Amino acid sequence: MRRFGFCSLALVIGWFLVCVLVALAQKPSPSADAKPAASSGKTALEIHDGERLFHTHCGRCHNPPEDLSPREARAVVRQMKVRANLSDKDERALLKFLAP
Amino acid sequence: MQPILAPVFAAPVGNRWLFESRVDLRELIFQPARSGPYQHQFFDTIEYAQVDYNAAPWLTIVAGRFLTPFNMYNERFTAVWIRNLQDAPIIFPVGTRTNGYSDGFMARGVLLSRKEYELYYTAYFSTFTTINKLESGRSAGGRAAIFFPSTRLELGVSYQRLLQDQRTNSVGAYLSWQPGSVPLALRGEYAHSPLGQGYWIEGAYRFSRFRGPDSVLGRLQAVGRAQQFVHGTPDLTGALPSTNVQRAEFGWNYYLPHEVRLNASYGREFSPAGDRNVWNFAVTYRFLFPMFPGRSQAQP
Repeated sequence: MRRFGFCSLALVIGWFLVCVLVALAQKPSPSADAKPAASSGKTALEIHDGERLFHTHCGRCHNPPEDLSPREARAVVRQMKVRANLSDKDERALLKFLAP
Repeated sequence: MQPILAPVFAAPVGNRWLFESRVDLRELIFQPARSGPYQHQFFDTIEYAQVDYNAAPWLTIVAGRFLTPFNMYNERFTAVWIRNLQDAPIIFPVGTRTNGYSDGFMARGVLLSRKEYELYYTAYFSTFTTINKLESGRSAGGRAAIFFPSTRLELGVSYQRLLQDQRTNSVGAYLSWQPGSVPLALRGEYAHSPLGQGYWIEGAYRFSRFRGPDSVLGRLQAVGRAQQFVHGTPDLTGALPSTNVQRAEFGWNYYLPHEVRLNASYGREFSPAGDRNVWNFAVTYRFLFPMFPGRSQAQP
């Protein structure tokens, strides 16, 4: 049974190492999980900044929330500003991305 | 089985203030004996209820009840809708004083911000309190981390000094890496205290490269986690195992539309006290709504 334990642990550690190798073997590309943002009233550049920030900071832990209203986005981003150590500028850019 | 309701309240005031809280309400339904009747027990916990003041770009002051910032799991992954595997790591009680909550003050922010890297810090003091639902121990500690935005690699170290009873020290280190090239998340933590030491490592791969994140296959995520714990002096709270433990876990997450997520995982735990299987099946649903009528403008 002890051997089975080591095998299971080795399997998971193997999975971890495979993940590392896959990551190292890939070339950088834009985020595949980023939420597509509309561009109503905002410049594409500002929204792109927000998307990049989301990918860099927020996307490390969770997916982008769906269908946030501007008021909801303000509360969510303010909360994440504390958690993820974001600047005022980052906060504004994220708001434009999440609730354009 | 345990249905959980975890409401989060967040109220930004002006450009610098935020009131936020999270409560965990759960009903544990269990069968004490294999053929006996089912019983149930209700738990309600205030996980955090804090005021945040953004004093400067490099300083946010937090007061109230907050999640103890030891390593990364407690602050980032205790929310049921975020964690990849529903069970907390075995070493979770190390450095978080069992329950993971502190009552006191915390200072945190970005010490240095460059294009290539960012330096984060957190320092806190928690007071001893026996107030119902707000129990906490007296402790002080901190965390420092360096984050490389281009590679999304974060390395951090933590320290906590328990300022009551046996006055023990806990130390920890963590790694988090989400390479930009693939939808992959690699995380790990190590923690040490007189009660024991251990680590966990986790790899999660989402198949979003297969016809996009919203395709049938792209919504699927595979997760694996390995853990090992070596016990030290006996833990009187019972939060940590009293024997050496190894655990391997595999799981699948499926991200449905409208913030619904299905989770299934299997783990096998090995210890001198007896091996056992750990199964988890979960459905999480996250939704948001404004509590009060107000302005519709988002910009501060």
